[in-house]
Amino acid sequence: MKSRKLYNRISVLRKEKGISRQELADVIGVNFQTIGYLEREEYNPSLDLALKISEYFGLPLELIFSSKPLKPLIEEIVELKNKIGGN
Amino acid sequence: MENQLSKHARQRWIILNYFSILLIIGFFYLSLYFRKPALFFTGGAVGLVLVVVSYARVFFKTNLWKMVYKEKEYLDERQVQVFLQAMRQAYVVFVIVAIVLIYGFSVIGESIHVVIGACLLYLAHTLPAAIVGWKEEFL
Repeated sequence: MKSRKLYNRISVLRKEKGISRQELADVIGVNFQTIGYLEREEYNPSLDLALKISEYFGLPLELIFSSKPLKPLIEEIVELKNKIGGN
Repeated sequence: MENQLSKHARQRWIILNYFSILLIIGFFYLSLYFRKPALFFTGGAVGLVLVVVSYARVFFKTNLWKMVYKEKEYLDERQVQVFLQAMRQAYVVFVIVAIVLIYGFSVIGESIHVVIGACLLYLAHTLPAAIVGWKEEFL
């Protein structure tokens, strides 16, 4: 079965945190090249790996991974705030 | 990572490696045909040097060969997927090559020489690493 492409924000989040690919790889227990493949969206992580990444960045999975192209994080947060404010 | 090669450089070394194997086989059969063992020893020696040099460069120094045969516990999930796929493809290629050789030799009524056997063993052993080296952008 061919899996669909998943989009992610790993690159942005990693740069924001100021860590290298090697450091992130060491924390989540993968090869540093795998971080490159994830950031270029050439590899879809398993649920276990996706959860490790979300736990590390302290963000919910749906803010890091999506089946649709992702908007900038700030736009998403503003939209979420508006939604909460609207309710 | 000064020992890492670009994908294209890896592909060139892999081609040289298997070309050298063909060179050894070629000199072996030429020496049989012309009944000149010296031809095999000289040509085969050149081929062997090329095999060793290219093997060292593409499989050994890049750690490619070691990586492919590493225990699953030392690999991450992407590497496991990549290496399993390479093993599967290598198996298919090896079976095709072996069947073609066996049928080919039986059709011409010749027995398979030990040189061919040794080259087949080498192929079986290096093919998974060669496939990974050929296909993967980064190792």
